[in-house]
Amino acid sequence: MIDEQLQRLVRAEEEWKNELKVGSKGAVFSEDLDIEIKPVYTPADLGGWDYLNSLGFPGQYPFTRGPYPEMSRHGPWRYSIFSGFGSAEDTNARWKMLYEAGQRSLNLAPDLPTHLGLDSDHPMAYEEVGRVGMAVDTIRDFEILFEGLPLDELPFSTNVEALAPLIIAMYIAVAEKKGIPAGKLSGTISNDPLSTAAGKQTVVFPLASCVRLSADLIEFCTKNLPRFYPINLKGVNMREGGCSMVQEMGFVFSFACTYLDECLIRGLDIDEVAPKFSFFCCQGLHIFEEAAKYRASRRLWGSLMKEKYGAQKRESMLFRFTSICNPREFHAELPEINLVRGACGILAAALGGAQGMLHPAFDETYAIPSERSCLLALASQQVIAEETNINKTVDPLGGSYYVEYLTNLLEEKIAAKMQEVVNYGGPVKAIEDGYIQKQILENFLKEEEAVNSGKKVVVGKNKYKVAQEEPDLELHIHDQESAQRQIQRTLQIKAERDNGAVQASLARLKSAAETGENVMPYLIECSKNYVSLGEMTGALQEVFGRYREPRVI
Amino acid sequence: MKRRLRVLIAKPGLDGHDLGAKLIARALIGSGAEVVYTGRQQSPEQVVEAAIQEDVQVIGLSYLSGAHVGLTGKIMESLKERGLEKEFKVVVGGVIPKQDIPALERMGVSKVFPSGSPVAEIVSFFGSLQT
Repeated sequence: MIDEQLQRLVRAEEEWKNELKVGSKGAVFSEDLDIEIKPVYTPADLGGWDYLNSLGFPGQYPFTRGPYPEMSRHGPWRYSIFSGFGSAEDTNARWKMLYEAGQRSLNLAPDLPTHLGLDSDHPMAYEEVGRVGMAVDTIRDFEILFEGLPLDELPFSTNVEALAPLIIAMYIAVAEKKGIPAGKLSGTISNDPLSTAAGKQTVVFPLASCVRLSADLIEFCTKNLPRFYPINLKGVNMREGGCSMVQEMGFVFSFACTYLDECLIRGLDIDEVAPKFSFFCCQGLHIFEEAAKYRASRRLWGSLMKEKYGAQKRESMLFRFTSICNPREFHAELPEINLVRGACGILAAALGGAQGMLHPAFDETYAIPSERSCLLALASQQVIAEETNINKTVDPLGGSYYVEYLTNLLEEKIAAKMQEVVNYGGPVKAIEDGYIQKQILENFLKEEEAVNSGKKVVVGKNKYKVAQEEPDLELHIHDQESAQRQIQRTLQIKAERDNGAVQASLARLKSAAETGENVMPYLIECSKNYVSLGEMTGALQEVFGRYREPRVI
Repeated sequence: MKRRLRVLIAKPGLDGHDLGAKLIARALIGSGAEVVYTGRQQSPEQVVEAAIQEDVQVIGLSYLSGAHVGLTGKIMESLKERGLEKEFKVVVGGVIPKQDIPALERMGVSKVFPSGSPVAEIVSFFGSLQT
C-alpha cells in the first residue's frame, strides 16, 4: 500500500476512535507477548508488509504459509499416539497386535533409568525399573522387543535425548544381527539434550559433550541411514516446563543452530544435514498467537537456513513440526471441559500448519488416561481435521491483519530471544549457568500467579466454580515382579557374555571418545557384544565427566 | 526464641519434573524461610546427608513418578538408623494418590500435600513446623 493511502488510513482510525470513544474502557493486554492488543488491526499495522516477500505461496520461500504446497488438503496431518509400558515382552506383544491392526510405526517409551544411563541393577534405579516405560539394559532387551517384527518396514521412533546415540547403536546392532543393513532402517529420535537440560530432565554428560554426541549421531545417520531422521528438537520440553511461546521457539532455534554448527564443522554440507532437522512444539489455547508463532517460525527458520547458512535446497529451509496441546492447560476441576480446551489447542496447531499431532487425554492431569479418554483425544483431532473444513485451503488465517501483525511481532521477538542466547555465550553456557532455566522458572511462576490471582481465567478452577467431588489420582501399579525379572536377566547376561570382548570394545569406545572420532561404530560394536547401556554411559562419563545441573530456584 | 525456618526441598529418585518443588521453594522463600534445593536425581542417602549438612528443620520431598512410597520409606529408614527421626520433620508433596497417604503417615511423614493443594496452606504448614 502506498504511503499516502496508509496515512489516510491512520487518520481514519484516529477519527473512528474519537467518534465512537474506542478505548475508553481501558487497554487490553496480551500476557504472552507483553503488548497492548489494539481493538482492531488494519494494513497500517503491517509496516513494510509485502505479500510475495512476507508470505509467498505455500511450499515456496519464505514458507510462511506452509512447507508444502497443499498441506493437509488431501489428507489429515499425522495422528500420533503414546505407547509403551512394561517389559520388552509386553511391548513386543502390543506392537505385534498394533501391527496386525494396521499400525505402521513403532514408538518406544523407555523408563527413567534408561534415559539416565542406569542399568536396572543400579541402586539408583530402585523403584523405577519399567515404571514409566520399558527398561533397556542390553541388546537382549531389543532382541525381545523386535522379535517377529519387520524392522526394515516399520519406522521406529523414541524420545531419547543425551543417550540417543547409544539407543540407536543398539537398534542398528539388533537389525544387523538379523541381517538387515542399517541403510534400510527408518524412523526418528529426539536427540536434543539441550532442550532436555533446559526443561524437564537432567542429562548425563556435560553439555558440550552432549552436543558432540548428538552431532556424532546426526553425522552417522546422514552418511549411513538415509531414511532415518536423527534429530527432532523438543521445544515442548521447555514449554511443558513453564516457558512462554517466545522463549520456546527462541531457545529451541538457538539449540538447533548449535547442533547444526557442530555438524558443519565436521565438513557436512548444510543441504545434507538441514533436511534432517524437525521440531516438536507445544501450544496453549491462544489460537491466534500460537498459529502466528508457527507461521513466524517457518519464515524465520527458512530465512535463517537460506540467508545465514547458505542452504540451496528447498528441503533444507523447511520448518516442519509435530505439536501437542500443553498439558499444563488441562485442569482436574471439571475435567471433561479439558476436551474443549484440547480442541482449541488442536485448532491452533492446525491453523499453524502442523505436520503431526500428539494430543493429551482430558483426564491425564489426575489419572492414567483410560482407553476411552485416549480414544476421545484421537477423535478430537479427527473431528477437527475431517469434519470442520478448515483444511480445504492452505493457511486460512493468512491475510488477517491481526494474524499478520502477530506473525511479524513473533518473528521479531523469537529472533531477539535467539540473539539473547548468542549474546550470553551460546546455549551450552546459558544452560550450564542456569540462565535459561531461570527465565523458564520466572515465566512459570508468573503464569501460576496469574491463575491464583484470577487474572488468567480457568473455568471451574478460579471462575464459575461448581461444587463437585475432587477426582482422586490413579497411578499405574508398579509391577515389582517384572522389574525383578528384568534385573535378573541383566545380571545373567553380564555373567554369561564374553567379558573379554566387552572390555575390549569398551576400551575402543573410550579411545574414540578421547580422540574425537565418531563414537557410533564403537557403540554398535559394544551393543553387539552385550555391553549394557549403563556400561557404555559409564565409559563415556570417564572421558567426558558428568553434567552438573545448576540448582535454580 | 524460634530460629528462622530452614527447609530442604528435595527431588528423590529419577523423575525430572521439578516445577512443583520450585514453586514451593519460592513460596517458602517469600514467607521468610531459608530454602536449600537439592536439584534432581537424588538418592535417599544424598537427601539425608544434605539435610544434616544444611542443618535444616524440615525436609520437603517432591514426587511425580509414582515412586513416593518406596523412596520415602528409604529416607525415613536412613533417618532412623542415624537416630535422627526426631530431628527432622518430613513433608511429602506431588502426584500422590489419597490411598497412599496413610502409608506415608505411618512411616512418620508429618503431612502429605497431593497436587492441587493450595500453596498458602503448604507454606503455613511448613511455618508451623518451625522449632
